[in-house]
Amino acid sequence: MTRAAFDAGVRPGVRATALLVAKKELRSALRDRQTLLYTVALPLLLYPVLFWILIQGLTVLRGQDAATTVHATVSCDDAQYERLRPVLAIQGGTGETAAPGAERVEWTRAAERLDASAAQALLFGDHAPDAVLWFDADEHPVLAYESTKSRSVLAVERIRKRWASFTEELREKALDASGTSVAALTPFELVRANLASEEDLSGFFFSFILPMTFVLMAVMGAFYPAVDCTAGEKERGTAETTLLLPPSRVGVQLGRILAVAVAALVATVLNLAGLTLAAEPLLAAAGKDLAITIPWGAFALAIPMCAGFLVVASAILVALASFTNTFKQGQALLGVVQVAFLVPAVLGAMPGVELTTGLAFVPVLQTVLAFKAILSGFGAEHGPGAAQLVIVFVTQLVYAALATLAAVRISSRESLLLGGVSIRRALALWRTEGAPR
Amino acid sequence: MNLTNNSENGAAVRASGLCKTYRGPTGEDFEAVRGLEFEATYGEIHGLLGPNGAGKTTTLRMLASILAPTAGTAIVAGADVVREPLEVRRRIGFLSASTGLYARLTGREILTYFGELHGIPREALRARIEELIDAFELARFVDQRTEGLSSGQRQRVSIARAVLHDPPVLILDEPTTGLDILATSDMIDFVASRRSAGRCVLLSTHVLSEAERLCDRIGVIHHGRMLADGTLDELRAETGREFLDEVFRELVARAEPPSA
Repeated sequence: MTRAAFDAGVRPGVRATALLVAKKELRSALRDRQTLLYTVALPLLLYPVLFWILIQGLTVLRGQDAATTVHATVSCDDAQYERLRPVLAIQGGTGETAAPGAERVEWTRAAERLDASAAQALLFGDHAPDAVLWFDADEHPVLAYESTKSRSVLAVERIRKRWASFTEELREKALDASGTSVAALTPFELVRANLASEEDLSGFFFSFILPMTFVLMAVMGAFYPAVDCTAGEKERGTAETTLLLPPSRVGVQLGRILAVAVAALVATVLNLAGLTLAAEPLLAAAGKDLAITIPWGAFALAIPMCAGFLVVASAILVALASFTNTFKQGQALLGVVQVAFLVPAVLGAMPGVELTTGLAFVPVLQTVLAFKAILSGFGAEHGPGAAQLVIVFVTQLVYAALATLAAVRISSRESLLLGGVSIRRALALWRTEGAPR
Repeated sequence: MNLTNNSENGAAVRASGLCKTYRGPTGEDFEAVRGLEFEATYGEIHGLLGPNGAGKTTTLRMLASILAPTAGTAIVAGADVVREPLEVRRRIGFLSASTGLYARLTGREILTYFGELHGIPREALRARIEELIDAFELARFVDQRTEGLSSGQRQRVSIARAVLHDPPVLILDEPTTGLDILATSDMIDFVASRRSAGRCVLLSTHVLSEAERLCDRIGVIHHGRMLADGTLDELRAETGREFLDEVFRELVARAEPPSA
């Protein structure tokens, strides 16, 4: 075998080099446990696991509440006490009593009439009840409780529920006695009819969660691969090996950015899939009767914009991680960068913050707002305008190109390739080092 | 294209006024290599001898087009390191203690990766990899991830990677650093075999016995300057010393006369 046989081949250009490098970087990254955890396992399992824990927790708490007996003290005279027996579900004497099947409240009758200060002293004293019912000078019942204690809140809920039911019974009896009815007093009962389709409701629900999640997941998915192919390479002693690759370093760096963007895409897609799958049981557990319809049309419309963002985020992370020498340094630096992405992502998810022409130019925020607008109803009467979405899409392309160009130039510096230098130092060296070789 | 006959005067490597200046953290300049001039020819092992920090690694990195010279240039296998860095990288094999292997790839994957980036046709690449597996006895571990290999096994894969494209010029930066006795012996045999194959080997070392045994010509570098360049006999004649360590000391002493 001689060189002549090798020279017959076609030397890869920038695009072919980028694809070969990206393939190698992805293969290497996906064999790393930490990258696999953050790129595949965590995005896919995060929401289902979190929601499962939440639902189990809610179930346990509800079960615990149902099994809890709360204690309350009532202070009143004998006549009031007799009137209160039904409302308090008191069956017997003044001791520990409760109606069968009712959420249990054990009542104790105070030996003497209490005023406000005495009720407070009782509530905060030793062996305090969870709530105190007393009558003020005008004989109005007052229910005293302590809102920082869950048992006290539970006692109030149970007593108020019973009280409302009792007063309703009294009202109906009084109306019957006077020859009228509840229906006569409410001649026009307003019935609400929500005409929003399942798709609309799903879009509304997703528009709050998905855009922010998308940005956070894209950055999280790009995080480890970006550090791995820059600082990680220096730490493993393969930076010089990569510098020996025969093609242009522009192709090599483009390949790295592409690999990071693909890893981020995988993480994002898996995360959104996990979130979508977990949303329905979560809403059911929260008592919302909403059937989830995945807004595929909106997703399809958002794809080009999301792809642009993935490239921007990947290029920025690769460029910055190039300044570091070890995985630890890379993680520390990109941890700060993650926060820089987090702030506009959270801001954009806030209710009332909508896509405007001005905000369509703001990096990161534009992505969140455009995605949110698309999900909540592109083309609707008050939906986002096509012009604003076009601005977002075009500026995303420009930002992606600029970020990639900057990343290639920064990460191709020989001062960074063989050992990281500070960002300040790298900027000082900018003029003394030539173009990527 | 016959690369071995492509250079001026048959020189495989010709460095002309090669300089490299680094700027330190506080802004001061450090001249790592100062106007280096030398030639190496095909079928020759040319050693660069010098203590740590002499500028050997920087010189070899410039010749390999990893670093750009601050001034001067070099022609390597007919390509200019300043104007044609990509062509230089296609025509050299480079190996040093810091050219590690991608830990999560297998030896075969690494060889395939480099072969594809060299543009070697698929069938030729497959045949070449099999040839190297036989030549360097890699069969037992070539499909294992390199992170699990011994240092000797890794070294053999690295050598295969460096000669995969049959480069006319091989640049080796302290290739025996960190190797055990057997691996060192294998490396010495390999270097000698490249000379027999008519290739040019540029070798930096600070192990005098290695240089004495292998090199046809030796360049002594100190503080980024070439103090002398010639065969061992020429260096002996120039300094009037018998052994290489004495030759080296004499040359350094002449370059740095004792202060009054």
